[in-house]
Amino acid sequence: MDDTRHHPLDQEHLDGNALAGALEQFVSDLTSAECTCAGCGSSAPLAAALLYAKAPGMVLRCPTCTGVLLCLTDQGGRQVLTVDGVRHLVIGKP
Amino acid sequence: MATPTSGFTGRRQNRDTDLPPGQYLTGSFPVMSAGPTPRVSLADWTFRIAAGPGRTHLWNWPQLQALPQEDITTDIHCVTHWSKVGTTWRGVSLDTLFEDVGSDAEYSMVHSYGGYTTNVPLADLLDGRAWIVHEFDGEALPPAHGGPARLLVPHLYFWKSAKWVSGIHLMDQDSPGFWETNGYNMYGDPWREERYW
Amino acid sequence: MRRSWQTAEVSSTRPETARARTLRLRLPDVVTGVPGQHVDLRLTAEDGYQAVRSYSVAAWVPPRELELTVEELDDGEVSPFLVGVLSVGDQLEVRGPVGGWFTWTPDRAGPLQLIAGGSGVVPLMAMLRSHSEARSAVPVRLLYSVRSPDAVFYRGELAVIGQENTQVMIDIAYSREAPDGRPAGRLTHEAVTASCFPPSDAPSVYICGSTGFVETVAAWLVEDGHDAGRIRTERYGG
Repeated sequence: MDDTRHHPLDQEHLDGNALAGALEQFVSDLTSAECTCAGCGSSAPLAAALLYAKAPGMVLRCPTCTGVLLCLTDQGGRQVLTVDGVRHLVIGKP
Repeated sequence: MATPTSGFTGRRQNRDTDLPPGQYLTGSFPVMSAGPTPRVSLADWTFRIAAGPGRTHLWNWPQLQALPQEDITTDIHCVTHWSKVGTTWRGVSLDTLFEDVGSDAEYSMVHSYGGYTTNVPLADLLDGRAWIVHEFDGEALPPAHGGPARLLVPHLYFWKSAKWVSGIHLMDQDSPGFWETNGYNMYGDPWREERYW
Repeated sequence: MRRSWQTAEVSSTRPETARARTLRLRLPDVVTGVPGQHVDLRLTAEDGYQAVRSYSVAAWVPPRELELTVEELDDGEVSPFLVGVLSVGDQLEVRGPVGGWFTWTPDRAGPLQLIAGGSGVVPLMAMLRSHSEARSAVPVRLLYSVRSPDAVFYRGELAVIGQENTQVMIDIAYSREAPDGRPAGRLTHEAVTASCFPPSDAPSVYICGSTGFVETVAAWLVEDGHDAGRIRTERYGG
């Protein structure tokens, strides 16, 4: 590995900015999204997961395996969301 | 700017000048928990210090109880802004547990039953500054507060004092534990108000 | 939906029980929401100390008002202030309404089964009120478990709805103390089964109460043959 930044000079990619509209629906109510746990693979709406809120941050755990799905902390105004335990989130119906 | 609500003070006593910045005194002992409370029977309980391959030191409950016990009175400071003064604990100094552990490592990861982790520099666990405690206020430490045993490192924010402690793994390089991965400071000195990244 | 904090003013209050009262809050802008949603309240002390809590909306009062019913918790930090101290004209901050899962709208399929433990009746009352206002033909059953007659929220309104709306059946179960001639005691599996639509009606079930209440009742319904996917729960903290 060298230190070269791999920014492809191709004509194929746009800017992430173009996703703003498509991602908007995840913003309106994320708790309704069906979440698949990266640990055990089971799925449930985020609203049905286990929230531990009496802690330095909000810890949301998988209702099947109790592994951490995501964690939200407030750094005195700046919000930090970590989502290591989420394999995918699905919004909307087929 | 937030709009103040007339008459609201919250459940705090007055700011005490002896407290670290941004802390408020509480008379209660809030239970903070990032996950389900593990139930560990004393028969199954062990505590280990892993100093490297083949250099694991292990204690069971009777062995921990047979070590010299110390009574500790200290103030504790939670990163969620509450402090509690004059708390009393009983347990074994980590100096005692580290007596026969040889290592050049400078860092440690503290592990708990239930999967919680937090990183503490090894120096902060030694010299009479950290204990494995199993009594609070003269009683066996209840599971909600970390029983059978928790780490007590009161000179750092209280998330470093891991509940349900199961072991300490020594590391050559610092690495973040649970809250340190999720927005909180790698070291966590309350007097320097090292709350966040 | 509003994503930032807005300053609301207390426009009126009324007691529900000795330990609970309803607060009507007036927001600066038009507020619309769905029954079952909640708002976050933020209280700020003069020195900047803040506390944030979530409360279910009990009623929507268009265009700019909503009502919350707050019960005082033993050892609570915020609820004793909201129930005992906050006065008409005081200001507090509101975020929301939020939440899209524990919600019901009259277009949702199937009969509506509501099961409340104590103050868990609040979001279910919003659903019941919405059902009445929409003159919905959806059959509804409410099972409301409370300690004693003097702990019942919305007593008069529930009595009126139960009598006048033929689509709605209300059962109140008393755990410690009951009105004359009625039994009191812990809610049983049989009583829950008897007060619920059968699984064959495929009701949409909403259960709200303490963690213990919600877990117990939900497990009974699944045992009775209700589809777990049609059961939505909301646990009250504390």
